Amino acid sequence: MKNKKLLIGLVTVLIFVVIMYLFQQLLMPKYMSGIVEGSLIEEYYKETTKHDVIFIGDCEVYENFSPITLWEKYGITSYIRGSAQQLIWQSYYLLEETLKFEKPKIVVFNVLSMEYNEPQKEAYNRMTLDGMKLSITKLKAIKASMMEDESLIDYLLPIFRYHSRWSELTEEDFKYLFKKDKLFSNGYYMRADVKAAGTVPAGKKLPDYQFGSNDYYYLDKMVKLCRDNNIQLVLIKAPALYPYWYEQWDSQMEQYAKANNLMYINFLKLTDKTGIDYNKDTYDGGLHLNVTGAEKLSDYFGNILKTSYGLEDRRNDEKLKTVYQGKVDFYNNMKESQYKEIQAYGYLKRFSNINQ
Amino acid sequence: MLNLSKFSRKHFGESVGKRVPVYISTIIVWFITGLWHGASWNFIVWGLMNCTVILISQELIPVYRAFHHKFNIKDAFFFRLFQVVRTVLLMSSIRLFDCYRNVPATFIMFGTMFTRFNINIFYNGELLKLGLKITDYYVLIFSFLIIVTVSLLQRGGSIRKRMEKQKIFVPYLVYYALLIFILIFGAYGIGYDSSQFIYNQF
Repeated sequence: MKNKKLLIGLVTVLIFVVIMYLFQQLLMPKYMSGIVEGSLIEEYYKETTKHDVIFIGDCEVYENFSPITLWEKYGITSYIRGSAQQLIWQSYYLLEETLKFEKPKIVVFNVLSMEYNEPQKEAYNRMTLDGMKLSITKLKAIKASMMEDESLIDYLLPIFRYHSRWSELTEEDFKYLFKKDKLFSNGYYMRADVKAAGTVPAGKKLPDYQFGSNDYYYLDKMVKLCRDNNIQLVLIKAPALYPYWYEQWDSQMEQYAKANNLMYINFLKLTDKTGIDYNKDTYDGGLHLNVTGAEKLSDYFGNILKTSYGLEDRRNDEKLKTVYQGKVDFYNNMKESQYKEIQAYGYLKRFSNINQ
Repeated sequence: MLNLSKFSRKHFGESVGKRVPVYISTIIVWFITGLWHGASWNFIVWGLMNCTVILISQELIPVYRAFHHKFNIKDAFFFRLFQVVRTVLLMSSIRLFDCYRNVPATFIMFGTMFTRFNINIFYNGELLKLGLKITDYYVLIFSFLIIVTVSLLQRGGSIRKRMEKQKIFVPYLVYYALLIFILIFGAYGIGYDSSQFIYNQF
């Protein structure tokens, strides 16, 4: 009798947990249209092959570099573990996590996030952290990222965070309850639309150009992590016109790279070499490159990686060949469908906010 | 207190003297209860209003008795309904002290319920501008109905005890359903600022 009661109790608790899990899945944002950037981090776990190059950083990596171009031109396997406004501690912990799955030869870090010494916005934290698999690394990333009014439990049980979405649920929430579509090419978020950049006004004067100590703390950690794992760390500044990249910031990065014996490339100064045309190669007036821009930049950067670090051309690897054939097809189909959509509507409907 | 009782009965006479210690202790208790809620006049006045209602009811007991003696409606459905509505409205009015900035504002706002005729807020969408969406009102109404139902059922004894006499899955079902309901529809977490809503501007 007592055992029976215990059994019934356990079974009901189990049922309760399952129901709560289903509700949680339903209530969490799906990021399948509109703001798709929230899906970037978790798509990495679907990868079946390893990569020689891992990119970490904010939108300046996932919208400006095309791993498919790196593959097609140089046979370089790469993945972008980028996310919207990814802060440097998040980049660090994402790298730490990535190293549990694979050991790349090169890690590329975009240095724009050095401008943020503190957590910035809960919504961006969410887009980077929610997609991560549960691990000690994720917990450390959460602790480093939380704003003052956030709490750990909201990350561990996201239903506490998203419960109020019950009144905003759409068809998409039910459709992608268990399975999400693939949206990116090895972490690259493709945009085929064009919006020319105008003239760039000089950056607003800042009271202080010195990067924060927290930034340097994590940059040092990143350097050490790469060194311990025998990985070459490359620092880059993507050629995005905004947010403004100050000369004072640039020289700090140059000095840091020199002191730590790292390569640092500021692509903003290499426009004539990369061939980026800000009238054609950006989709939002110079904040991010579009696909033509990303292809040009990747072509140029791939050549540097190849010659400076002697990366192997893997195009003859049978397994990779088949896997990447699928990726190239996906990439080309994506490009084609975006061009079609632009032709039909004049803009990319899928990425515009559905509520508008 | 016993000494006080003797003292006051001796000096004020049996009828008034008997009341003095009761009055004093009731007032102290409710004053402190108010203060316990928060160090603000709103809570203190809230406590004293409760105290006032209780003392007036006590004083009016002979009147009630005479009334029920004359009209035999004590057990009539409509009289009981009247009692419930009366108490809810009375307590809700006192609760207004929780909602407004200070004591005078509370009295003014209470007064405008009778002086300002604006019944059209119920259909011109004005109510949706207060920070609650229409869906929130649905939850509010539904939850209110549950509370009223349970409260009425409780008159026949503890609903929890009665539920436990049912088949075992009944209480489980109810508890888990309530838990899920609160977790999903509850007003908490990021995006909900409790200090903005109920404890307005404290």
